[in-house]
Amino acid sequence: MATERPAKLRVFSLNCWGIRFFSKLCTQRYEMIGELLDREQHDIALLQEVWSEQDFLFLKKKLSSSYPHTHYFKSGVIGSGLAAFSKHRIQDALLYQYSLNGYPYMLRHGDWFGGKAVGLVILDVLGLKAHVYVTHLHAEYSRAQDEYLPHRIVQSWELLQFVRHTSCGADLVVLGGDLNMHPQDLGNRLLRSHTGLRDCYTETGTFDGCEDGHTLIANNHFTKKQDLIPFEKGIRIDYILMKGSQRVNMKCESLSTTKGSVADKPFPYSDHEALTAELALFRSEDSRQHESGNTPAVSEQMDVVTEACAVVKEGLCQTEAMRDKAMHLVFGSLLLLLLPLVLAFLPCSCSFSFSTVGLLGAVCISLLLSGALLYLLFTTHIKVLKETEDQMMLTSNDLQTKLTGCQLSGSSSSDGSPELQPRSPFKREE
Amino acid sequence: MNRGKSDTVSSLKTGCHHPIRLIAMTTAAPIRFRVFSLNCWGIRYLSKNCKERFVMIGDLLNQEQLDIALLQEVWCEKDFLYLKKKLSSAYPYSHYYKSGFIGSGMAVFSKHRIHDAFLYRFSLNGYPYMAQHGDWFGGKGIGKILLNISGLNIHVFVAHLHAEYCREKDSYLPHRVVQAWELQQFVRHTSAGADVVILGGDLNMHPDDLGTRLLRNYTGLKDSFSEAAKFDGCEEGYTHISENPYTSTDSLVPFGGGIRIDYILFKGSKEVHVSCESLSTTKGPVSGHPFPYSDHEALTAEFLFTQTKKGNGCSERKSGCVSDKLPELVNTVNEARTEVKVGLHCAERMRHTAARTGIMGLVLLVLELAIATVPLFALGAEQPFPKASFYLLGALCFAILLTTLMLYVFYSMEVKALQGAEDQMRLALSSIQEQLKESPKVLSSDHL
Repeated sequence: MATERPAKLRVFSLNCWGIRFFSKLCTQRYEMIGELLDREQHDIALLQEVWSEQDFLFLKKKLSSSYPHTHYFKSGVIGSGLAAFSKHRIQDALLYQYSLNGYPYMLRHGDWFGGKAVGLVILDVLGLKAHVYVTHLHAEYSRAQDEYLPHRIVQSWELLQFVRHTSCGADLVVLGGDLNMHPQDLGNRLLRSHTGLRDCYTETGTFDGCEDGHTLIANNHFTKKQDLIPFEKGIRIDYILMKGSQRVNMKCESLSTTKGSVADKPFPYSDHEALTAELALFRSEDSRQHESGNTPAVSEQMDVVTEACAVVKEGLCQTEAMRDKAMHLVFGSLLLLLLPLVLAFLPCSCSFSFSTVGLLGAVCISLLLSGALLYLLFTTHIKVLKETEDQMMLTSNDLQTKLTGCQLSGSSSSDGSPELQPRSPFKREE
Repeated sequence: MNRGKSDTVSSLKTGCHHPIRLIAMTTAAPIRFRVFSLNCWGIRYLSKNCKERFVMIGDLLNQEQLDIALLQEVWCEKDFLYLKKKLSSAYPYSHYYKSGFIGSGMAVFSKHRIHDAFLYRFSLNGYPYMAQHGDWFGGKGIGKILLNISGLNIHVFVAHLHAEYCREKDSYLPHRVVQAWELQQFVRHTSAGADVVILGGDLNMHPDDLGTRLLRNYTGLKDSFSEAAKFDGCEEGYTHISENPYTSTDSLVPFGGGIRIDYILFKGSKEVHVSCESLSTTKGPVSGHPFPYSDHEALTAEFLFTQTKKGNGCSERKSGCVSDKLPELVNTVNEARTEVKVGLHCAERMRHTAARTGIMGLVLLVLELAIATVPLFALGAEQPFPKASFYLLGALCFAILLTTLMLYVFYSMEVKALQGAEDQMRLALSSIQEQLKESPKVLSSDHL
């Protein structure tokens, strides 16, 4: 096929920090974001933390000519906060809500109520089928003692599984969002090594933005410097990832981020920086041109899944311990409940006023109910962690077989599984 | 599609975004594939003869020599582990899907290596306060496994939808419709690289119910009962019959003594033609045993996978299998959307009631506190302060406040899930309508 000019795809991603009545200057910032998107004329804009549907509808109306196709992913109590604005027609949309997303009693963190998820929109881009994912993972509140690490690893696992299983028919895959993970964090490595998605920041030839591609910087008017400690200048936690297919090769021609302040405006778009990637799409008839060189090694995949499995197991232990505590609370309060009951019916109870007995009884019942609810919550979490662990083990075993199969190339496999033995006239070449 | 030499094949692990290229050396022999599905009714301490029935199920599976067995309602992990041990030689590979509080209850036993497993939890699954129905605690969802047999990618799904407790006034219908929607979405979007798709499970829906039609029409999956060359089982393929001692005969009388709510569905692809050679069901009592395997009947289907020279199956790129089914699909999706809207109104009303009740409780509490402060300021109060009533009322208000708060949170999630499903349906409708506009051109170019 003759060399043709590659098609271009401009992708935008921003965590909008749109917590109404809570985040500063929300309405004004949405105005600014709307103006920016209208001006920039991207192909796709992927937004996170658009918690209020009214804000989404405002943007939808404002951008109706430049982005006629939109989807707002709804999940959880106030979420998911994910929205996609597209120049190209959205053929279909699917949502996968993460099974673990914090705790309902951690009100000041609030992630649980957000119903965080990964949203998929399938676009028709110049005759090509583009699978575009937008996501937002659980925030990291304390890197030194990250109690949400198992949750984020489970989310990374579910994200990679979802991308892997739904991107089979895609010509190109783009993932944008706030992963709340640094580039070399376990969850990120897990995601990239198992999906084959490539980081635009590392792939691009041209970069213009914050130092080291940081997307949460100290220079931003809204960020709290102490939240970034020990990272003085900033952290890179928002990404645009991409992958081609046999039909399409993708290259990131340029990537840019906002740099904290906005020209002519007194404040930035959000507490996060916005990412804009310009992707070039090359049709590829010859499958050998495909980026097979970028497929991560099986051994690397195995190592990272083993590491992730260890984190999940640790999370499991911790959650089981918490569930045991909840159980103790239930039984303890049941026992304690006997006290006011006994006091209420004893003949010499006149020495204890009704209010004391009543209060004690009320406290016991509250503790009992709290314990029961916590038991329910932690059991659900344990189930999720065990399921994730099982899936990881399955993958690990499968990779192990592949590794052994490669090492024994030519000789018949010893494990007896039919698909590795060359019985069938249909051979799968690896 | 040219089948020539291929030196790059995707690793299953970096995503199956490249279709597997096969090298045909000779005409391949068709592959036989036997699938089993049963709702085991394994609610420990509640369902009758639970332990003994699992022994029987284990014996049956060992004797039948199937390729895969899809079980539902294996609520207790101990029962799964028992079966796993018992079936370890005939079915060396298995997966137990864990979700919710006691669920998901779904297990897969396979003769062939399971390359991958994935679980999709339904966003709606009943109400936590409906303890007598208990579905909410079950964490129902869709389980998926990937098998590879002789180079063929086989995607197997197992599902268990919300039960129907009262057909005349089905308060769970919106939930089940959303579950059916999510099921078809999940199957459609994750089976693009599949040569064969099999779906088995307890859909809790009759063959012509909205959800079943939605599932079949949109995914193109075929019902083994309608397609089987040979059938041996209950009349009309019923899977929940009055002859079964565990079922309530009264509830089945209006349906002629049985209902068909368990299915094995299947689909081939461009490269692989799948036919259902036979389907059989158990018929209630089991010979040599005092009771049946479960309150549901078991399904066994035998499939034949045949490689085709030219693609005569459905194109993976189209949402519907055949363009002439699109108008029917539009109607079905519209019908589903209506049901979801009905559910949405109901959920919004419930949420509003919870909010109103909560506010009333709060107001009452504040009022009571205000009244309580009066004796402090009243001079020469002669009446003793009614402490008992005060505390009781206060406790009641507090309890109401907490309960309504939790209900508000729950109903908000229900509303979001229903709105989300409706949005997806609306999007799907516009997509299908676009396809319909283009379809005269498709028919004329005739590349199928």
